Amino acid sequence: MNDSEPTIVAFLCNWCTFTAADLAGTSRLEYPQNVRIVRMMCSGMVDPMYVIKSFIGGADGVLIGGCWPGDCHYINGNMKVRRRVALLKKMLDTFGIGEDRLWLKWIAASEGNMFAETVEQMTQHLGKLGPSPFRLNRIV
Amino acid sequence: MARCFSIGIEKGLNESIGNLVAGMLEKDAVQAVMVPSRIPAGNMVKQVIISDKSGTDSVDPFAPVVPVNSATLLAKMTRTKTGRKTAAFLRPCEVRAFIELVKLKQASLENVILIGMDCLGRFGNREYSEKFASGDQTGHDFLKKMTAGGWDSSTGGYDLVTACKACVHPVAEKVDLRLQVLGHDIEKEIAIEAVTDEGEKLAEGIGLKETDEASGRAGAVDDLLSERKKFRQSLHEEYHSRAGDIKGLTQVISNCINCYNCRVVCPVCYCRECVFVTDTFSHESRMYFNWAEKHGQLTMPADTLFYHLTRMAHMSTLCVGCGQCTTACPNGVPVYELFSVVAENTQAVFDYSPGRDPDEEQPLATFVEDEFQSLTD
Repeated sequence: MNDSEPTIVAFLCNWCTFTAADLAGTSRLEYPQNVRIVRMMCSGMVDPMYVIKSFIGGADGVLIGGCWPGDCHYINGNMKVRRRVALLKKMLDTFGIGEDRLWLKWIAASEGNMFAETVEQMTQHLGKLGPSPFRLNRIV
Repeated sequence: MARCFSIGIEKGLNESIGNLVAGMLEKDAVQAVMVPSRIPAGNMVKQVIISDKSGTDSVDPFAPVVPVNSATLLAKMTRTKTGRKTAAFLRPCEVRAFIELVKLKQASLENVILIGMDCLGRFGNREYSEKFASGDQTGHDFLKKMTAGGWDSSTGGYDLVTACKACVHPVAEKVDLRLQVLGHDIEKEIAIEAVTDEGEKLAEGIGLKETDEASGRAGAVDDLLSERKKFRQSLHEEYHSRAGDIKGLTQVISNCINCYNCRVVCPVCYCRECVFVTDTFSHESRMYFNWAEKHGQLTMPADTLFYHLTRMAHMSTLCVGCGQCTTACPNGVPVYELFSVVAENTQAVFDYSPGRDPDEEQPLATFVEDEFQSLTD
């Protein structure tokens, strides 16, 4: 892929957003190829270090997809990850990596179109922001 | 109004505190007291578990050194049941870290009497043992210097650690007894304040005399606080601008050699096994070449920035600001200075203050259903 194109690393819950991504594919919806999907058993399994490693490894944005509140397969993993995202956003903001590069979205298994739209919106947003500061400073 | 009890100073501060410790053991109010004491060899003061009153001649709790944050020591002593009651002399940052360990079920408040000391700061371990320590009244000497206008770093060429100068918790909060020196004339009398019923029972049981709260105390605490708040603010401004972007952050930690000392000494780095020493990070050799080839270069040792950011995400909400990380760094990385800025930000997200209340849940161990809803918009 062209270096000027943004890269998104997406951590998707197996029970909802990952299935939605699958549905988007089987429904032949088109969405940008900028996203690299990592299938998780629950959005609550996303440790802050996965997000940090993604950014250091060259991601311009990180997307976490989980179940709508009340729908978590493991009761409340999505509520836990929401706190971690709140913390990470504040932390990254301290070092000037705010700019809304970390997204958390609730996307149900039936919402393939919403997954495609989210990836489209995020790709456009990151395209406008330009490469992440980690990538610009060649920090590994 | 909490009751205060008087501790008269006749021969010296340490002797009076030694008598207090001996009194607790003699009346069997506790079976052991953990108190900072001069160790037999070397110019060092360390926490010593005293179980017999004959061991009380070398206590020196106000000596300005904290070799390790004692929260981890008291956690070792309370993690499993012992059937012994212990009193522990702790500084405010140690009390707050201990309360966080209790929440993590790595320590227990059962059978523990917490004696929180007013804290005027400490030196680094080497500055203390090589330059400051002399004789058997180091705590007394230090308090005398501090009350007579503070520490003058220009005379000895060394200073209190930055964490202490920026600390806004000089008085311990969640304790049973509070050992007060602020606002007292340490040549004559200090006081111990009963904060809980259990603390009061102990003070009465060993026959301490009740007294009024020292008239100058509130003023002395306020003065110290306003001085420290000022220092803290300018420190945070400095590090906000130094580490305000990724490049700056990388410069601040550029001396890091991945020794992980800062994690080892951190009282609230709570994992029994840190992920950075597990097989997750013993990479296949080819990976180093892959990374180098992907980016054109790879700085070794790898994962330095990754380590610091991960540690921040894991423990900054619990950071009590004791500064042990900076003291332990062999290469002068200002770990505390950096983490203090981040901690203030992340703790504000959850309106959390570590050590404030043992019944309050840690931010990442709980959630509220209708919070942070704009995050998913």
